[in-house]
Amino acid sequence: MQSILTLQEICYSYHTLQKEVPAIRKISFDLHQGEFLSIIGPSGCGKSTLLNLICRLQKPDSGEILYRGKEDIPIGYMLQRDHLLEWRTVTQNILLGLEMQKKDTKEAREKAEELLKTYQLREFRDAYPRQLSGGMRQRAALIRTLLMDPDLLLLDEPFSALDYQTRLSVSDDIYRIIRKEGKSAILVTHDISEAISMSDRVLILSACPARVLTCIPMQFADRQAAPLEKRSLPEFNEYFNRIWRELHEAKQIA
Amino acid sequence: MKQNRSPDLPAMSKQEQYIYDHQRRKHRITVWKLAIFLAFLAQWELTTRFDLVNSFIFSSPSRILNTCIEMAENGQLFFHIGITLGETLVSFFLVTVISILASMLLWYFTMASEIAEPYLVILNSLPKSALAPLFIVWFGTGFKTIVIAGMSVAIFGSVINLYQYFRQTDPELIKLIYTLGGGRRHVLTKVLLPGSLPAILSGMKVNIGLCLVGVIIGEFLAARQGLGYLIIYGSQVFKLDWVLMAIFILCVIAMGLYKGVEYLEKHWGTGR
Ligand SMILES: Nc1ncnc2c1ncn2[C@@H]1O[C@H](COP(=O)(O)OP(=O)(O)OP(=O)(O)O)[C@@H](O)[C@H]1O
Ligand SMILES: [Mg+2]
Repeated sequence: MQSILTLQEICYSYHTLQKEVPAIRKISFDLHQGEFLSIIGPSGCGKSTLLNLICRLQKPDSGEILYRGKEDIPIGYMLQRDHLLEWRTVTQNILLGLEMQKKDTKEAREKAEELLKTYQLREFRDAYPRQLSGGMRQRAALIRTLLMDPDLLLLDEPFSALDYQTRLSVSDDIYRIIRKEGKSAILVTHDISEAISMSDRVLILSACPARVLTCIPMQFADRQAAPLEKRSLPEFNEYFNRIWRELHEAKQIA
Repeated sequence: MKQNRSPDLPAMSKQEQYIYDHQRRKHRITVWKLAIFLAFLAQWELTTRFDLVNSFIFSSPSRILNTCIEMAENGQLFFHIGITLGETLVSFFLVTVISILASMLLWYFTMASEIAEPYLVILNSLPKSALAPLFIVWFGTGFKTIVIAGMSVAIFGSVINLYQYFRQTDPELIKLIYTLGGGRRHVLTKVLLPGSLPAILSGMKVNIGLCLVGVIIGEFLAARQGLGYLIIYGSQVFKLDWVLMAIFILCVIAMGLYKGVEYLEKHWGTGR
C-alpha cells in the first residue's frame, strides 16, 4: 500500500526564556493512503504540536516529513473548536478557505451547496453560526475543511466540545464522510472508545516529550461496521483493555 | 409595581401586565427627565427675573433665547456652529481612519509596535492642551490647527485600544486562517478587522466626544471663529449671554453627534 505521509525521527522543542521544552522526541510512523489513524496520549504530551508539524505550521528541529514523495499535498486541519466566524453566514464561513486562496469559483460554490445538502445544513446556509447547534457547527467546520479538497485530514479532538450524545452521532457522521470521500485521516483524541471505533490503527504516545509507545492495528471481523456498532463487538473490549493498560503503564513510567 | 389599570376593565394576563408595567416605568422616566430640565430652566428664569441672582453674570433662559434669535437672524450663529461642527467631524473622521490604519500596521509589524509602545503611552497620557500652543506656532491659527488639536485628544487612546483589541484575538482563530491556507494579510482582513467592528464602533462613540473637546480647546487658543471662540470672546467682553448660549449649543451638538454615531453603530451592528 502506498503511504501518503511518512515521519522520520521528528524532534521538536519549544523555547521559552526560562527553559527549553522538548515536546516531540524522535517520532516516526507511516500513514497509508485511505487509512484512519488515531493518536492517543496523556494531555500535554505534544499531540497538537505533532499535527502542527504535519500541517507545516511549525518546522521540525530535526527529522523529515514526506508527503507521498511530493513536497506539497493539500492538508485539512480541523481544530478542537469549530471557530466559525460569527459575523459570517454558514455559506460564507465554509467558503473562507477558498476565498483566501482565490479559488472561490462557481464550481466551488456548487460543491459547497452540494455538501451542505448532503450534511443536512441546507436550510441553514444563510444562518449565522450562533443559530446552529453544536453538532451542526462541527459539521459546517468539516465542510469548510473538505471544500479545500485535502488528501489528508488532521482532526485535533474535534468532538471534545460536544455533549456525549451529539458526539457519538457527529463522530459517526464524520467517519462516514471521511470514508466516503476516501480521505486519509489522523485523529487526536483522549477518548479510547472513540479511537478504537473510528480508526484502523491507534498510535499511543508517551507523556511529554512524546515518543511512540506502541501502534496497535484495529482488526474487526466485521469490517463494514459503523463506529457505533463497533462499540458492541467482542473485539472492542479487548482493544480497550489493551490500550488502557498501555496508557496506564506509560503514566507509571513517567 | 403591580397596579392594574382600573377595576372595571378586564384583568390583564401576566404578559400584558408585564408589558404594561414596563411601559409605565419608561413613561415615568421620560417625564422625570423632562421635568428636571424644565424646573431648572424655570428656577433660572425666575431667580434672575426677581433679581435673586445677577442676570448680568448668570444670564437667563430668555436672554439666551433672545441672543440666539438675534444671532440666528444675522447668520452669525450658524456660521460659528458650522465651523465647530465641521472641524469636529473632520478630526473625528481622520482619527477613525488613522487609528484603524495605525493599529493594523502596529499589529503587522510586531517589533515596531513594541518600540512605539512607550511613546504612545506617554503621548496618550499627556494633557493635550499643553500641546495646543505648539500647534499654533507650527501650523498657524486656522482650520488645520483646530483639526489637529481635535485629533490629538482622541488619536493615541484610540490606537492603543484598537491595537490591544487586535492582540487579544483568540490565537486559535489566527491558526485557523493559516490552516485554511491564508497568510498574515488574511488574518487582518478576515479575522481582526471584521471581528473588531464592535470595538471600532464603540471607540467611535468615545472619540466623537473627545474630538469635540479638542476642537474647543483649539478654538479657545487659536481661533477667530467657532463656538470655542465665542465662549472666550464672550467672557473677555463680558457678554455672558454669548458664553452660556454657546455652552448650551455645545450640549446639543455633543448629544447630537453621540446619537449620530450610536445610530451608525446600530445600523452596522445589525446582521451579526
Ligand atoms: N507555544 C509554546 N511555548 C512553550 N511551550 C509550549 C507551547 N505550546 C505547547 N507547549 C508545551 O508543549 C507541550 C505539548 O503541547 P501540545 O499542545 O502539543 O500538547 P497536547 O498533547 O496537544 O495537549 P492537550 O492534550 O492538552 O491538547 C506541552 O507540555 C506544552 O506545555
Ligand atoms: Mg492539543
